[in-house]
Amino acid sequence: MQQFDAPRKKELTVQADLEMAAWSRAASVMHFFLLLVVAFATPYYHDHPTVLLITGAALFIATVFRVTIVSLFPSHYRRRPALWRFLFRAGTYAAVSIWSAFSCITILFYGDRWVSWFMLLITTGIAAGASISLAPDGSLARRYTVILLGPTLLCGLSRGALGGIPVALTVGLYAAFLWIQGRHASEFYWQALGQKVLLSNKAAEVEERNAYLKALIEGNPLAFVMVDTEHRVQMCNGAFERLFQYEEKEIKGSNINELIKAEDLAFEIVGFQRFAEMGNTVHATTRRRRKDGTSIPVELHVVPLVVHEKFIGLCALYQDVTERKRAEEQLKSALQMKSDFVSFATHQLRTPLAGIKWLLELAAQDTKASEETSSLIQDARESAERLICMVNDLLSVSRLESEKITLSPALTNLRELTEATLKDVHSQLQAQKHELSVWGGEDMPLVCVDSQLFRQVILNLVSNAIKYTPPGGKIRVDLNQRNGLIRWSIRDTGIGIPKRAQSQLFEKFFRADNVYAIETEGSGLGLYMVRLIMKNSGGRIWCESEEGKGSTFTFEIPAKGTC
Amino acid sequence: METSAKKVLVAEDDRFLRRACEMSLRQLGYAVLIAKDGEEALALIKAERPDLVLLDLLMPKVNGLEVLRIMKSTEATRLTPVLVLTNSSRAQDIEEIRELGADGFQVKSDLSLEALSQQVKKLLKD
Repeated sequence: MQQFDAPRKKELTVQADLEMAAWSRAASVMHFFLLLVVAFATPYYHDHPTVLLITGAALFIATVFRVTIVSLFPSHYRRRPALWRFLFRAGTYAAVSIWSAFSCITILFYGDRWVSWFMLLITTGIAAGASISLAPDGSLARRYTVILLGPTLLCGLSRGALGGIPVALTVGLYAAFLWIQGRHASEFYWQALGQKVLLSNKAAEVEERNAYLKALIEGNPLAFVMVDTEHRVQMCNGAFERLFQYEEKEIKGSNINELIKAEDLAFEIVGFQRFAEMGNTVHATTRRRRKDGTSIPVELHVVPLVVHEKFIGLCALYQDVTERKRAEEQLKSALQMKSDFVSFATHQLRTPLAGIKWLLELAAQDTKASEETSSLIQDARESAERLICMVNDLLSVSRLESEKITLSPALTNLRELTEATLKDVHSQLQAQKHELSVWGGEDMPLVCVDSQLFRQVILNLVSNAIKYTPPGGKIRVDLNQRNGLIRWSIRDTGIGIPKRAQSQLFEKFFRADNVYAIETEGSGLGLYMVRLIMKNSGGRIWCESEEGKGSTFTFEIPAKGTC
Repeated sequence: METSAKKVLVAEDDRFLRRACEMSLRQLGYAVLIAKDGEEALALIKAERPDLVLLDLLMPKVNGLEVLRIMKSTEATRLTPVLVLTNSSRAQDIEEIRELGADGFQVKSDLSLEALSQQVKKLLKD
């Protein structure tokens, strides 16, 4: 007998009991019907109907009981399976016992006459039928056979009815055969049932899986289409239908290329397919055509479909990127407008600023002016100077950002450039009483940079070091080279940069909190400009700092022998 | 002294800058001619034959580049030095001005008495 594990056995038992119940309903009604057949065939009973009446009534009650039990299956079996099974067996035993008694009485009463033979025939038939209909419960089937045929056999022997020993032997053999056959039928039944349940479970699983996949494809917001090896559409989802304005049924079997290829991109689409057919996944941003002929920008992924190592077609996913493209365009033009505006504004600012500065310079020459007036003019000159610096920075930043700046790189000696730049800050250094030293770089290779821009870089970094170091500080510039890179760094003993500010230090208009204690004038453009220049020159800049102790700014650029 | 003073033409449409230029050049001892636009500039160049022209590029009527082109293609004024006043410090703009024949250029925002004096002296070989 096939072995099943416990939960499986339980599941199968339910199924077996259900089938047995269904068969038993017909069998029990048939059983009663056979009694009526026998009743018509036994003439003497018609004169003395007591036996018929008693047996018939008893069998009728048993049949009603059995049918009731069977019809209670759907409502009661789940709750009390053991009780249901007990009652079902009880009903079956009762019916078979009644028939067995009826059979014995009839054979004993009629003796060796055709009625007895007829009874024996019916009874063995019932036994045969039961061994099949009770196959789900093997032990019940076997007991049924014994109860039905055992007494009948003994009756036949006891009175020498039905031809004595030979017949008894035949019936005995028949019973033994049914016994064995009952066992096999039961085994066979259980095996078949196991297979059947297994298959139906598998089918349900496959169905669920299909439904799941269908939901996955259908619910996908990306337009999905699957084509076979000839690029004929096999299936598509709702998003595809909406995006390309086709219905699945109208395009099924059509060549996808004829449907959605943008006129001028025939070459591309074939290229993508070839590439995907070689086992690659294609990602691209391109255009495709809708049913109404309009062309839309899409993001596209083409994936080869391989099932059991066999290439069966392609699957493509499309996303409409019209909105994104539009937003990108808008952003681009907004950025351009901003940059144009800054450039325009600063250019227009330069002429009046130059006028102010110059006129003030001329006014300052007036020796007849009072001391107060002279001092006011001096302040106005400084203020104008600062404004000019800011406008210049803003203009540089705007050019660097829009990458409109044309670099004029030349071979430059960084050490010399540093020293030349330091001359510009000499007065500031002296005013702050800082000590500044430059180390290394005398025999370093030249670098290929725009010296005007690098002068600004160095000036910015040195000015910052001077500005943010309390008077009497030490500033040290180091130049060295390693691994083909020239490294320039400046270390100060200044106020340092708070940890939280360090990550934003090189961003536009950013100023750390602690600088306001020193001065409030900075624009927050200097280090941003430095970073932009570094980016444009293929270098990088970073900063290490501890608040209250000082900062070190370092930039690195590749050492190049030629320009 | 007065008769030997060299003549410098200032062609600049911004009146403040023009005044500053004028005052500065007077201080330096030059005779100053003033033009508010390109048309005036061309007329004065023809009539007065200045020794040096300070030329703004963006001017009404005839712009500075055009004035420069006419000057450099006219035999009489071909050798007159021109100092271009510009708002742009971009390398390619400066290169373009130089190609047109300008003898010097000065970024306006960097203008000062000293810067102007240096440039003018250099161009007049004083």
